[in-house]
Amino acid sequence: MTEPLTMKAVGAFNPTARPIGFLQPLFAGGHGDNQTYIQRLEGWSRIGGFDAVAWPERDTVTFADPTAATLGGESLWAFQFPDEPLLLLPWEDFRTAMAGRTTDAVLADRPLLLFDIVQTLGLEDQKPETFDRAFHAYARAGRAAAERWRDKEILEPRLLDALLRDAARAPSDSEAIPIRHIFQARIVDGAVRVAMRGGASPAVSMKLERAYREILTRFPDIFPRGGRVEIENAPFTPAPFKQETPEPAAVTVVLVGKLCNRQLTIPGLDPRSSTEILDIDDLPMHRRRVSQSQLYLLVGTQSEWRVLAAAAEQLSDLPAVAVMLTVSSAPLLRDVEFQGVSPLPSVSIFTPSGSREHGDALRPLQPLIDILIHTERPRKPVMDRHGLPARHNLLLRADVRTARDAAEVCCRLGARALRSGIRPGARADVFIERPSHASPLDDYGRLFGVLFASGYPTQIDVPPSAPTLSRRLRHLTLLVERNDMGPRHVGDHIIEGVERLFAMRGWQAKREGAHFQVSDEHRQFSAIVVERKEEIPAEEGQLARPGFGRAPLLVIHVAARREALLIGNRGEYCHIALDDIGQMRPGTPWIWPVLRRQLMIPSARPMLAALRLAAAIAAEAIRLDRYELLSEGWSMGRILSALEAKDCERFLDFAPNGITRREILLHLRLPQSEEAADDRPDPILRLRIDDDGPTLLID
Amino acid sequence: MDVNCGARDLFRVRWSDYVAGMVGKQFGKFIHAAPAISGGIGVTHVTDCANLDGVLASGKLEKRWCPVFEKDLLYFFYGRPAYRSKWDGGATSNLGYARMCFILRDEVADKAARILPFDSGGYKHYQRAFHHTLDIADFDVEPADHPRKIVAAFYESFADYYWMQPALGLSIPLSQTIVDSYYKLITGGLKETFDDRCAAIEIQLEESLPLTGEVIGVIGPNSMFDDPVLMDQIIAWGAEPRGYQLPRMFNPAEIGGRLLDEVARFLSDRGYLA
Repeated sequence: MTEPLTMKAVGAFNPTARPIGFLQPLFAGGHGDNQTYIQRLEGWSRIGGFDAVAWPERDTVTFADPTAATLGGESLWAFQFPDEPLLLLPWEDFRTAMAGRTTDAVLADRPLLLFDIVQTLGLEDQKPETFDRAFHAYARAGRAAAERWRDKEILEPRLLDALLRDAARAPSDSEAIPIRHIFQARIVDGAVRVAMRGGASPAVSMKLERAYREILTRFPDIFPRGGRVEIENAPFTPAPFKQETPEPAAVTVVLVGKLCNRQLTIPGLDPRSSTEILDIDDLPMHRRRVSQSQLYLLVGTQSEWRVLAAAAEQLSDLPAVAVMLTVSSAPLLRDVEFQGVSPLPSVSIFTPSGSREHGDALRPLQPLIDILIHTERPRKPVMDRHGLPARHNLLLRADVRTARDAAEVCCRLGARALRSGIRPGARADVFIERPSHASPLDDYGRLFGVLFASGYPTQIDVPPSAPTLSRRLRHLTLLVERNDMGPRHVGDHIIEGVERLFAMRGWQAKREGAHFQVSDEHRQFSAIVVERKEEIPAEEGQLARPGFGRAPLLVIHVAARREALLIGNRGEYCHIALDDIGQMRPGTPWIWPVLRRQLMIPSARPMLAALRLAAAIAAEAIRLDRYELLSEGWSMGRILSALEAKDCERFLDFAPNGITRREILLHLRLPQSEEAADDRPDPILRLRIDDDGPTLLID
Repeated sequence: MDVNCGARDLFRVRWSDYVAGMVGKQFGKFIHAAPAISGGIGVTHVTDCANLDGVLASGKLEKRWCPVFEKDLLYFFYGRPAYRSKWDGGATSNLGYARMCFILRDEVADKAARILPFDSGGYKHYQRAFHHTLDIADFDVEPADHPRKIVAAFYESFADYYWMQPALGLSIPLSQTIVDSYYKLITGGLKETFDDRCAAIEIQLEESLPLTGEVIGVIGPNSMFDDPVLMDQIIAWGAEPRGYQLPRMFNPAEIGGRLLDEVARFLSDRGYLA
C-alpha cells in the first residue's frame, strides 16, 4: 500500500484510561477505506510515516473538527485535562501550550506525570524542580529505588544526548543494534559508570565528564557530588551461568536401547559408588553440565548389540566401557560382530533375568563398579587403560558360601567361562569379596592358574555401611579375556578346557583321540565331551539297571539340558554337565552329589525323566541296603519291582512339592494283590541322596 | 484484557488428561536432565493499566477462567515479559493499553501447575511448523523442574535467554525429535519464524497469587505511580516502582521493545541479569 501523504487526526486513544494524561492521536486517510493510522515519530517533532492500526475498542475520543497532518511535517500531540476539551496541537504549539499548564493545580499532586510532560517536551527551565519532585516521589519506596529510576530516566538520556548532540550520527553500529544495547549509564558507589560497546575515546570520555558536571550543576539535589565518570568496555557480553555444578559421579551408567526410559535408580546399587544413571539421549546434556566422571559404563542388551555399538561412538572420547547384558552364556556370532565394531572395550555380563526388570538387569553392574573403581590392585602391563584384563572381557560370579571347597567353585566358574567361549590360557583377574569364604585367597589363585593366565586374587572390600550388605552374597568374581571367539576355535577350547578342569579338580586327564582317560591314585575311567545330542555315544544293549558308579564311560555335556542328563543317567553311561566336574572330588563316590544336583536343583520341575531317575536311585538304595521301613508289612520285592519297571510311572508319582533341596517324596501305588488286599494306604518313599549314596525311607 | 492469557487458542482438552499424559514425555525428560543453575531472573506478569485497580483491590494476581482447559489459571513468563517484539504495522494491530509488568521472585515458579517452553497462546502458529503428530502436551515440562532448567538446556546465560540468543550448535540426539523441533523453533530453524513468544517460558498457576512478599518490582508508566494507593501498595509489597516515559510508547517502533528494555534494565540494576 502506498503511504498516504496527508492524514486527519480524527480521534485519540487514552492508553492509561485515566482522566488526565497524554493521549495518542488516531488518524484517518480520507480515502474512504475506513482505516485507522498512528503517526510514526522522528524525534518527537516530525512525522516519519503512518502505520495502520485497528481502531481501539475503548477509551477513545473523536474529534468533531479533525486536524490535518502531513508526512514529514510536524507531529500532532494530544493531552487530556479533566473536565476540559481534549488538547490537540502540532508539536511546537503543544509545547507552548503545555509549558503554560505545568503549574495547574491538577498537576500539583502528580509529579510523575509532570515529569513525563517536562521531559518529553524538553522544558529545560522546569526540569530541576520537576526532576527533584519526581525523584522524591519514587524515594517513598526507598532512596535506592529512586536512584535507580533516576539513572535510567535522567542520567542516561542526558549523557547520551550529550554524546550525540554534535555527532552527525549515532555511535558505530547503532543502526544495527538498538542504542540500549550499546550504552548504559548508572551511578555506583558515587561514580558514574558508563558502559559502552567498544569503550570510549578520550574525546568521548571528556564529553561525558563535561555532561555529568553539567548534570551536577543543574540537578544538585538528586545526584551525588564529586562523582567521576568511569567508562567500561564491552559490558554487554552476557555473564555465563553460575551452574550449580554437581560433583561428578565416580561412575556414570549410560543406558541404551530398551533399557532406556526406565526408573532412574538401580535398586541395590551401592551408594558409595556415587553412581549416576542416564539414558544415552541425555548424554549430551550431561557432558555440558558436569565434569567428566571417573568411569562411564555404557549398558545395553546383547540383542541390541548394534545399538550398543553405535552408542559407543558417542563415548569414544570418554573413559568408558561397554557392558553387554546377555541372557545366553553361549558365544554367539553377534558377540564377535560387536567386538569387531565397538570402539570401546567391553565386558559381557550374564543376566538370566535379562532386561525384563530394570533393577535386576543392572544389579550385576555393582561388582564391575567395585572392581574398576574401588579396588586397588597392581597394574599389569597387559591391562587396558581401565584395568580390564583385555579389550573384551566376560564377568562371571559364583556364590562362594554354598561351595564345599575352592576347587568346586573354581571349576564351576571355569566351566561357565569355557561354555561362554573363553579359551584356556586367557588372561583373567579373580576377585573375592570380604569377608571371604574360609578358603585362603591363594587357593583361588592357584586353581584358576591351571585354567587361565590369572594373577593373585584381589580382595574387594564390602563396606559395612552399604544398605545392600545384608542381601549381598559373598561372591567370587572372575573377569576374563573374551577375545578370539571365532567359532572354529570353540570346540578345541572346550576339549583343552575340560582337560584343565579335571586338573583343577585333582584328576589326571589324558586325551586319547576323542576320549579322555581320567584317573587318580585309585581309579581310572574314560570320558568323552559332547556338544550336540548326535554326539552322545549309543549304548550297547538292554541294561537291567543304570550304570551309576559302575558306568564304563563318563559323558560330559557342554550344552547340557537337564532332561538329557536325567534320561542318560538311567542308562549305561554316566552323564554330567561341564559344570559338574567341580563336584567330582577324587577318592569319593562323586556320582551321588552330581545326581543330587541334577535332580534336586532349586528350579527342578517334576518331569517324567526325573521321576524315572528318582525311581532308579531309590531302587539302587534298596539294593545297597540303604533303606528303612518305617512300618511293617510292605513287600520289598514288590516295591523294588515297581521301582525298576521300565514304565514305573504307572505305579509312581511325585508327592505334592515332592522335590526339595533335602529329599524327594514319591507316592507309590502298589499293584493290587492278595497280600495287599487290606485297606492300608499306599507307601510314601522319602529319597535322600547323600554324598556317599542314596538312602530311602518307606512310610 | 490480560495479555499473558496464553493457551486461549488451543484445542479443547481435558485438564486431567493433559497433566497425566506428560509423565515421561521426551521434552520433559530432556529438561529434567538439564543442569541446575544458580541465580535467576524472576517471573513476570504483564497486565494492562486498565486492570490495575483490580489488582490493588485484592492484593493478588487473580486466576481467570481459561475456556481452553476449563479451569481458572494464572499465567506468567519466566524473566522476559513476552509480547510481540516487532510492530507489524498491520491493519489489525491493536494499540492496547499501556502495560504494567509485575516482576516476581523466582520461587513463584515453584508453585507452577504447568510449565511450557513457549507462550501457549501462540501454539497454534508454531504448530504449523512442527510435525503434524506433535501437540502442545509434547512440550510440557515437569512442574517440579524450575524454568531455569529450560534456560540451562538451550542457552549459555540468562541474558542470552532474555534476548533470545539460544546456544548455537547444540548437539540434539537424533532420537530427540521433539527437543529438536523446539530447538529449531527458537533458533529460527523451522520453515516459519515467530516472534519472541515462541521462546518465552510460560508458567501456569492454578491459584491466585497474593503479591505480598512475592513481587520485587512493578514497572509501568511514570504517571501510574502518582496514584498514592498504588505506591502505598507497592511499598507494602516490598517492591520497587519503576516508571517509564509513556510518550515513548506512542512511537510504533517502541511498542514492542520498550517493556522488554525496562524489565531488562530493572533486572540488570538489581543484579539479576548480568
